[in-house]
Amino acid sequence: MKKRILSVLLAAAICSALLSGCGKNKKDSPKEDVTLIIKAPELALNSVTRPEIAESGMFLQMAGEAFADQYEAANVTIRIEAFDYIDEMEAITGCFDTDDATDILYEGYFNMASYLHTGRVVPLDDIISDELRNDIDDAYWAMSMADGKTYMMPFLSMQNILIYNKELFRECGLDAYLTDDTIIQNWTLEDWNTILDTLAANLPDRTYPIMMYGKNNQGDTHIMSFLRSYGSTIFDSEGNFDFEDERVIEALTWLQNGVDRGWYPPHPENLEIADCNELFLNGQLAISLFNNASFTLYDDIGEYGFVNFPGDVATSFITGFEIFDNGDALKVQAAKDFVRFLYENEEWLELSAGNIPASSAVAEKYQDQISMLNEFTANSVHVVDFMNNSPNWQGSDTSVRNVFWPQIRALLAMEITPKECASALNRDCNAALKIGRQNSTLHE
Amino acid sequence: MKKNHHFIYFLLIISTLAIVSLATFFYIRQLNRTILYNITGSVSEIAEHDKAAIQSYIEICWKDLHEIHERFLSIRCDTLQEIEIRMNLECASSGFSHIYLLAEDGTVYTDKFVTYTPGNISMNREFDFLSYFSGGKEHVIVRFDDKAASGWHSKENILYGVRLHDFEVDGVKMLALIGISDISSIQDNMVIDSFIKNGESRGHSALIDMEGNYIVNINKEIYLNKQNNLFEHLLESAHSDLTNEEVREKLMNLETFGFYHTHVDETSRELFYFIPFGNDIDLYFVMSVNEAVYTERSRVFITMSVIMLSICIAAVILMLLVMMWHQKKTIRATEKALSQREFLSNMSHEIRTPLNGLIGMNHLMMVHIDDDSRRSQIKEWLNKSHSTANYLLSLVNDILDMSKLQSGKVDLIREPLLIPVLVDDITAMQSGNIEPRGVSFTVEQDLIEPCIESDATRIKQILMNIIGNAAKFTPAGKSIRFSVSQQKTDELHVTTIFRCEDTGIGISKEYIGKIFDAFSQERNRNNNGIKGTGLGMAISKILATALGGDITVESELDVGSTFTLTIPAVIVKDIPDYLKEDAQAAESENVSSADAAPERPIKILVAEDVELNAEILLEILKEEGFETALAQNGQEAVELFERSEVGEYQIILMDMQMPVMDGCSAAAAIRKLNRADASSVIIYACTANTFQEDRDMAMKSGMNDFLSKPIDIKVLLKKVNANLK
Repeated sequence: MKKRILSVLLAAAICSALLSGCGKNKKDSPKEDVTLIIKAPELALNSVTRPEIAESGMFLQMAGEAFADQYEAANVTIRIEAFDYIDEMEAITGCFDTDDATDILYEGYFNMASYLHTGRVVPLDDIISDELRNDIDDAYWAMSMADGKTYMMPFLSMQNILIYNKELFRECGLDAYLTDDTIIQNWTLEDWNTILDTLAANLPDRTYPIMMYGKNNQGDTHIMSFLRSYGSTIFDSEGNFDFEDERVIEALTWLQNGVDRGWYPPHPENLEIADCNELFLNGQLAISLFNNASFTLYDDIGEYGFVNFPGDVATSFITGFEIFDNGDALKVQAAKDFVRFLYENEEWLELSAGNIPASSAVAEKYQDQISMLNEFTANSVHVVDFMNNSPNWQGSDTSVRNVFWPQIRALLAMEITPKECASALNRDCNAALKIGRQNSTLHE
Repeated sequence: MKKNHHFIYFLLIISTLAIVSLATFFYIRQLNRTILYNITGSVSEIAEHDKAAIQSYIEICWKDLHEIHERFLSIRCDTLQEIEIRMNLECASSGFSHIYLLAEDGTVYTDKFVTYTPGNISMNREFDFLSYFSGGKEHVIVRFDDKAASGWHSKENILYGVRLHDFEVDGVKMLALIGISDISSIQDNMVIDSFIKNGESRGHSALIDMEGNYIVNINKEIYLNKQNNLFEHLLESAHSDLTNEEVREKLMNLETFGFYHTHVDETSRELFYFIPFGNDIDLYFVMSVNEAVYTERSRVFITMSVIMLSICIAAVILMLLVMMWHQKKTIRATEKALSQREFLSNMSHEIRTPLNGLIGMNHLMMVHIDDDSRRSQIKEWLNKSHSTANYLLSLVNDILDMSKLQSGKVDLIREPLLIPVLVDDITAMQSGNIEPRGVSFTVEQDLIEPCIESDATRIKQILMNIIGNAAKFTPAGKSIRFSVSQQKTDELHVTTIFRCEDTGIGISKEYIGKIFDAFSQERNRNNNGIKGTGLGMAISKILATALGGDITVESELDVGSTFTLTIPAVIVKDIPDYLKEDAQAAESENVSSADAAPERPIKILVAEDVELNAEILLEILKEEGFETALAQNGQEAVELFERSEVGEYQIILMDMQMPVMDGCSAAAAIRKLNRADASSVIIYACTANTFQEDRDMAMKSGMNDFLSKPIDIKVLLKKVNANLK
């Protein structure tokens, strides 16, 4: 009897030990370590909710740490790397298949869109809830997609319009074009001719009517906006450039004539957009570029008026997220979970308030605090998709951006006629698109 | 002695290794210093070269600005806009990204048509270019990071400036012409190709101002860490040969200098080298090179050196070993020569002494042979001659034995033997020497296994030496006790212990240690000039060892000596029949007289080529009652035997070395003869060759036994009688 009792007790002890052992193993099973490399250029955030988070790096670092603290699927370490635009290729494509490969990229669509075609950017539809889909305007989604899938997550945007110096306008007798209301104006081409000719004739020495530049590819988007001034969309129905459209040639002619008509600073072919901006800020330029991020540059914004590009055109720069597949499924999942975390937590999503938030809910919540939000929202009808989801937009020597500006420079230097310029642009830019399409690979 | 040699060798090797290690240590240290010195020299050369290239680049930039100014003068510009347009065009065709004209009032006119007026706060930026030209500087180069107010335009630039003299545009007096250049243009001139490995640069160069601020730095790590000052970099370093204060002082004194410092993470050590520019360039050129660069170079040298040193050490050790081996060989050869010389000297002395006696006594006998009054004295001389001749014989036998044993040729014939028979034989042989001299001789046997497998002849030889010595050195009235006992080691083996205890003169302590050395004989008052060859114990020791046993001695002077011979052997349980017969024969011999004369006349054929030997032998045999016949060679012996009647010769004494036909051939021929007694006639080999191979050869040819010369007549008669029976 005693033996039987001992046997039962022994068996119970063994079972208990085994069970506790199993339980312990399960509880202590270590989570895998994952390091997410998030790269971004230095971008001002201008957030109204937390002004102390001045730039994108700080935002990503703080959000990343908050995500890592609560994430259970893996031990996540966040590494933020900022890069200069001039080093972007090295930082992104140059790091493919290295330990420094980008997992998440936070940047403007303007640059980011090119990477979709490398086949490494993963679709994000699986982390976009219906609620989020409905919260963000379809125009944003349209610019985030390729081949029916969403590859980029819009976070905020900036609208590109023009700004003019009211004082200089007054000095030149152009009071009629001024308005006391803070609105984004639209001038007819006839108005534009009148205003620019008047400014050219009446502005003080070494002060010029409107920005123009052709030294490099910076600001080429805005030049393309000018090319729409006569009503062309600059793309044909198949997505190719149609610069030889009569309306584009008219716009090119209009641009070139501006050189002789004294609309621009001398030798605009030797200027870049930054020079024009300096001239405007220094009161030596009457009309220049403006977007949401520029409010901080001006002490008294009331002294300035706002107008769309000729042809009532505005463009939008969207900034958001892309996730790269570097061959590690766990990292991809963690990256997706991080992006979803940002959009599901108001604290982080609301940091987009300051520029134009992609989220309608955030925009509505902070509409009174975001400068000219309503005006920009109202002006969105004039916003055109300047990239048209085109591949090979930038990066290589044969990209659209790198073959576009040399022709504009030649046009401004009077080296070619508008027709020749249109022809060359068609040839070179469509060749760039063709290369892009040929090389394009979307992630499966 | 051997231990001493080993210790000396050990010390020699340790000392050699210590010297080599010390030399290697100092060599490698010196090598490192030399490499370090060379690296420093190399770095200084590269730094001087790069500095010169950068200086040239800077001077070209200044020259470009001067040339632009000259073109301003040649193309008259009346208005500020004209000069701005001119600057715009110049900038477009130059390497500068911007060209500025600095007015004396601080206003800056630019190639991009922007005018920066001092105090214009609307721009949120203010250029304080005037300060660059303070103190009448003609040329300026400074870092100029242009953070444009728009936030779009942020670049790291280098500002080059040249002072203008008497240059005025539209009433504005211009102080300087300034060119702004992207930092990358000068960085391209600062890449150090010399220290690149696998695409990674381990050498960096930088330009710093006198406060240590980086003007240009191509060490990306520092740049990425936002370190803008050299001293911040050095402060973060754990160890540095110079303090920051010392570096500052050297910078202020425009010294060219270098120093090492270890980085904060202590993973790398760098050599920093500083060269001032001079010539209006208030900057320092700084080059830093990772220690890995020279450790890699020194590693190659050290590896090569270690290989070379190893080869040298190995060669030295090899030479040392060869020398030691050669020296040892020489010492051995010398020792051998000495030993041989000593041996010959001993032999000469030992042989000459008895020969001298023999010759002397022969002479005396020849002189007095006819003198009857001296008859008793002649008889005494004859006895002495006989004993001296016997001594000489034993000496020759011992010398031959010793010579053979020393050359390692110990022939052992291990076969079953009966210890009682062996003991009886020895007792029989020795008792005749001992007892007549009034010495008591007792023999005791306590045997477990009487039959063992060993070499009876050799054991007998040893025991004869031991007991013979005891007999020689035990005076009358004393005793000798010879005992045999056994200890069983296991079922198959037994150790037989032969002990000879005498109460003789004993051996001195000094001599006991040498007793087993060849030619050693104690000379003292007690031995009374008793002669021996001095080889007996040496031979006995060698034989005992060869038999797997040992021989020891305990002795006390004037008390006596005890010699103990131990022989381990295999036990023979089944005693062979021939041994049983021997035993019986021995017993019967004890009963009948050993030297009894034969019952009937026996005819012996003696085959001997040496006439004297033949005569002696025939005479002795005749005197003993034998009939004899002589053959002078083997052939004649065969013929005599062949012609004889069957059974005429019962015994043939056959010399082995004879002309015409040797003894073995003759014996074989006789055995082959077709006659009844060809196989039964007893043939004894008689030879002076006493080696085993001679015995074997004789037995193989069909002879019955072996008698060594000079023939001991007693032994001969014993054998003859035994055979006849």
